[in-house]
Amino acid sequence: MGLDRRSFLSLVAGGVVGSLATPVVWKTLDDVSIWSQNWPWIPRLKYGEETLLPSLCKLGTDAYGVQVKLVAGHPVAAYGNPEHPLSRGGICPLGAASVQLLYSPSRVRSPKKRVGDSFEDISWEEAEALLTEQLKAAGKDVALVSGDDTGSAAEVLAGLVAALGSEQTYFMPSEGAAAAAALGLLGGDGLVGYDLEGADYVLLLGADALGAWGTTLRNAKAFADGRERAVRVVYVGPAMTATAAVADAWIPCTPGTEGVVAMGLANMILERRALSNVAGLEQFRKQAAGFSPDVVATRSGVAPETLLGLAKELLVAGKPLVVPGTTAAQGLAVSDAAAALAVNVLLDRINMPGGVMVLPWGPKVVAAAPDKKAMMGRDVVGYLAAVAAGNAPAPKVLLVHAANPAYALPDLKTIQTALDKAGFVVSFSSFMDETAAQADLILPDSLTYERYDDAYTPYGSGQANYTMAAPILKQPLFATKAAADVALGVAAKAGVDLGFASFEEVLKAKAEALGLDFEAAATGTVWLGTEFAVQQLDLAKVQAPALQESATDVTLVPVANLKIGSPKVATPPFGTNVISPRELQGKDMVVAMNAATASKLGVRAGDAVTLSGAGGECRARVRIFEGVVDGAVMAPLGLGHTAWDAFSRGKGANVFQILGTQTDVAGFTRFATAPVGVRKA
Amino acid sequence: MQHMEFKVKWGMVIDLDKCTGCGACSIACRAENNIPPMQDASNKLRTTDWMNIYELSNGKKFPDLEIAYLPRPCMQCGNPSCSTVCPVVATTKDEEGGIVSQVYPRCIGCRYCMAACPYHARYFNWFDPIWPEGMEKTLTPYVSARPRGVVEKCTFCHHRFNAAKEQARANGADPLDLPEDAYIPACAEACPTGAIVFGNLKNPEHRVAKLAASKYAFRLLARLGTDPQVYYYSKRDWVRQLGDNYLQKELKGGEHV
Amino acid sequence: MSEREFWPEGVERCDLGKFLAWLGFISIFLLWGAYGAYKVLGTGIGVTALDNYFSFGLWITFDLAVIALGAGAFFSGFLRYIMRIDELKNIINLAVIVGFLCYSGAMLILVLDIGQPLRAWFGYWHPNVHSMLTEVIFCITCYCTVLIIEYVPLILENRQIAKNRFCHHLAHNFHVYMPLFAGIGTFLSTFHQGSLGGMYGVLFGRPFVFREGFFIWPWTFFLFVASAIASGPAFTMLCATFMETITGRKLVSYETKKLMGKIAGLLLCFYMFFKILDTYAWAKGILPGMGLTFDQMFNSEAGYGKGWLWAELFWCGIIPAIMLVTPAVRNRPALLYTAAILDCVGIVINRFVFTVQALAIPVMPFDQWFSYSPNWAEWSTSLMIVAYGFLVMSLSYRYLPIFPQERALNR
Repeated sequence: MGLDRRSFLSLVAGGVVGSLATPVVWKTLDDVSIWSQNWPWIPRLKYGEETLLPSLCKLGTDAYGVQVKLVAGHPVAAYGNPEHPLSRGGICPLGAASVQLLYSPSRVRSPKKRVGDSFEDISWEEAEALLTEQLKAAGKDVALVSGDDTGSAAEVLAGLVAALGSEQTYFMPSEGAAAAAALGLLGGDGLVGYDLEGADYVLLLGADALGAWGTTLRNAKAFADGRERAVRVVYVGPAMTATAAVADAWIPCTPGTEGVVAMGLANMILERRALSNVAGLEQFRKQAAGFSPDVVATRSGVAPETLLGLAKELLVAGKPLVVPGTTAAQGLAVSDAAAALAVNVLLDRINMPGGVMVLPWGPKVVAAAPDKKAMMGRDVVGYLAAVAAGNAPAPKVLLVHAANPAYALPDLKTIQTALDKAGFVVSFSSFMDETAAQADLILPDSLTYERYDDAYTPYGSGQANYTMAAPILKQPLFATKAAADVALGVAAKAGVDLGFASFEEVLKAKAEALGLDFEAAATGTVWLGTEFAVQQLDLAKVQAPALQESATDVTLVPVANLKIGSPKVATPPFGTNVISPRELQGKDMVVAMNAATASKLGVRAGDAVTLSGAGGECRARVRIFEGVVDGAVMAPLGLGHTAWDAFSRGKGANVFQILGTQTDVAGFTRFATAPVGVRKA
Repeated sequence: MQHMEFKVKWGMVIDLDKCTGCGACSIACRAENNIPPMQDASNKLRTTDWMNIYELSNGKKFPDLEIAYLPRPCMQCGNPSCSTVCPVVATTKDEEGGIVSQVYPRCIGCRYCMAACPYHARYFNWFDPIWPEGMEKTLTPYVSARPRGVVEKCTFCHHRFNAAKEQARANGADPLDLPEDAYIPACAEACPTGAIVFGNLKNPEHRVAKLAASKYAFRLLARLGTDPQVYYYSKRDWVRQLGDNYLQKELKGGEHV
Repeated sequence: MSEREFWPEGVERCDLGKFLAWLGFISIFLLWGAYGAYKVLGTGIGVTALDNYFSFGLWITFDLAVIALGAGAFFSGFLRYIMRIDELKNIINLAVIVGFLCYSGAMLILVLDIGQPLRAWFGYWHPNVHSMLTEVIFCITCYCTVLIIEYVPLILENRQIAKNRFCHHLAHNFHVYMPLFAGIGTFLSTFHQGSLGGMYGVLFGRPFVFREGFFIWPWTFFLFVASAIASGPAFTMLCATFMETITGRKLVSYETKKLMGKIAGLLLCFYMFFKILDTYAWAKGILPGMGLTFDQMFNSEAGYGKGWLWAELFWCGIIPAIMLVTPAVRNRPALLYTAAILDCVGIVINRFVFTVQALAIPVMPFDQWFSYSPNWAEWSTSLMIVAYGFLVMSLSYRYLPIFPQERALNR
């Protein structure tokens, strides 16, 4: 029987009508919503058991506890750790982006050896053999620059370098080092801390405590608690920083004159309070007398009545605290730190609740390693400048650990000359940063979540503390290795005995030295120190900040901002969005100045300008912002990367390129602010 | 649409005198809610930031300038301008708790809700989301990745609300009477200064309820009648005045917000 | 059979080569637009200049403008079939085709404009009855169907197709029921023209467009209906004149055009009266109630100065309204056409400011003005729709007897 046209059409029509009566068609149509949501290229979520593990965030200058959430063994997010005294549940912008940073496109995924202008992937055996060979050949001409001044990994690396006979072990610049040097200058000994939780009046002399300075998160929590207790926070500085924005008062001062303000305050306090039992008081009084209200006003722009107001507030406060610092969170002058310390001494705030706390240096377990005090007392900028100038021998092997000196040091041109002079540069960077990009050998460090890590008393802590982090991932995501383990392995091969076979053993020893149970420490128990060494401070040794007017019309005020990055890491992939047009517009860095300064410089909002200073120039765009003192140009630190990845490369300019240096007391270099030239581009 | 009243109204009070504009809330939100990273985020009209941070200024000259940072999540309006206009019921305010939902598989991407929202709290997926290779392994299991062509917004981390309710049920407690901090969104959790306080506005025991009742509390554009569930808090007059539009004569004579 | 035998009876058309060259020219725009559409559908709406502030832009402005100008179809139909103004039979076919092109074109643009075109039908599947946009989706799709039903008999009247008995009868039957469709079309059209205005009027978060109103309908509902019917007839008349210019043939008698102009003029007067009242009430009532001033609604640096307002209300509002109701003006073709053009431009400006300026205005006091200018992806696709209109109109003109007066006028 054939199928004629009519019955065929009936069949089709019947079929259509029939199937419309079933749910099949409608269900399929409705499913559009599901499959148009789940194209093959849209990643699917993975479900599984959820766990929270404690770890550390050391991406900024801070080091605080975090909690990492794992789902079916994969880390998915980092949260603050409510149990950790330096986090108390808060997390910084870098910490919040840290889990995703594990998969950053700029991660160095295996050891690399330089071949001509490019790199070649090599095995760890080959890499370690190469380093061993280079170290043996270098003899004692080895140097170390580490950016990890809280961890034991630096101790291991410094131990290796010291065991090879070199004293050239350096930390990257930090305010902790400057503050400790200031304490040392006055005859004290220890790490400097601030009991922000206990103070009832906090005078921040430049320290952007809620921006990127010191124990930022803990500062924030202390600030928030302080609000409830009506603690007054006053910020003195050249620009409206994050701290100034929420402080009870912002007192603008000429860039770099916070130390002058401190001396002026000391002078007023001495005039108003009879003091005894302070060593060197009379010599100091003479020094302070040079900082009369008028002199201070001329130099710093802080009016006499304002200064007097501050002095009175300090005098009437029960537990006042004066905190020195900078907007750059580095490059602080030791003399400025000493002046602030002197004010605290006059107010009897040393080792007092709510005062300046002097904290022990912490135990050293790698016998060969230099003392932390010694290492912190050495100035890396000065050393590299000497190398560049030929005043110090260039190291045959330069080890760079947790640091990016090719990007994050002032007077960068000089630093670059020094790096070029170094024979064989080894970078332990986890990322293809500027230093790694020009290194001869990259031995990628695992990130904290992939290895053991620890932190002892980051700068600013009110009491000594020690946090350990066990690896959260069973093994590193890529062919990376903990730098300390590499150093121990290489040491063994080079015939140097550092006393430990693994970094884990180093940490066990450290825990033991602190009287802390290793297992407890590895699962998040934080050690807290309660000892504060009695100090005999002699104010006669204060070297007051220079009073002469600076020769320059315009001063660059670099401001560190964790959301843009830190000296260690560039903007992480999850951080690009929070960078605002006030910092970056298109590819241009934005610098801020007030209308008066702009008109003096002949520039207008939105103008492209060239900034020049310290052997370099960079491009920027002008923003008129009245939160900057006259004659100052505020610029964000952390932009202008040339290596890394598309999330940070080529965005804005690196302020370090134009940031000049000044020699400071105690062999330190000051670079918190610097003269700058501004002209229309 | 019928104005619904809820027994539980989740709300925020953001203390603008504490916010430093650090950005941690926004990044924590991004990680929690699987918002893909952006290589170039300089065009702020194209970025997706459920928690967006504005800078406010009193407009004065140096040295009298003052600034404040204002984090802006979705206001979860009691009278949403967005959900009523959605032609396909892809966004609703009909669940106890008063959170305005956003149903990605339902959204047709007409963007009418975005035109309706005066807070710019809604974001469109202009392209398909891209994570750098491997980074998709860090997606949380809470919020599905959105394809291009749909609108998204802050949901007060609604998945955390669900988790807290489930936990309460497991404990034999009332899921509609969650204790303080049993449920808080990622931004409030991350905030270093604790500027973001979260809780049930209808529960007088909760801190938000007390703060929202303060004379220093205000809501953005409340005059429009949106009835937001997000409150801001500042002791500074000029900050509160920037929370809404006022005619010159309304501001004269010491009349305050 | 030569191509000539497909032409309507008794008229002249250009030679086929010239016609094909013309179609080739149109195709350039079609292809460019097709490429734009491919990029939009293939990679995402991110290829346009739209953003999270300007979620609506050229496309929505284009849609609203063509829907308003396409109102000539329903309103002429209403006057012709319901009000029995017989004169309009001379232009009603053109009005139907223009209407069909405007609506189908708008729907094509909407397919590009919504992020998930595969879900376009969700408006039916998951309707939110409270949304003005739902009403718009309903009415526009239904009315587009009506326009197809009205257009089909015109196609069936092609000389060769009409030879088929079935087609001939079908066309005849369609004509018999045309008043019914005109009635349905009028109802649907009035509602969605209104709802398009209502879409904006209900946005209480957008001070520029928010309006109070009657029952559930904000005043913009009625103003959009009025402005559409005030410009639609003028646009249809301009289309006829434009076609005459291109083809060099007389298609519609000047009497009919004058009538269209008169209708548009009367309606424009009616519209402008209420539009000015509305603007006044908005500036004096709604804005101050929101704490805003009239001046805050404009920013010439961003490109949204008061010039637009004066252009819309005065130069393209009051002026053409007066011109069109003045017989002396209507009697002079140049002035009639100028007035009609101003009328249409005014309505386009209205749709533009309601769409774009409304979104440019910072509502949060600490926000700022932003500007929007469409990019190639939006222009190419919009021009594609214009080209599509030219294409269909060219074919219709060549092969369908749409101008009943053509033979007589060109004798």
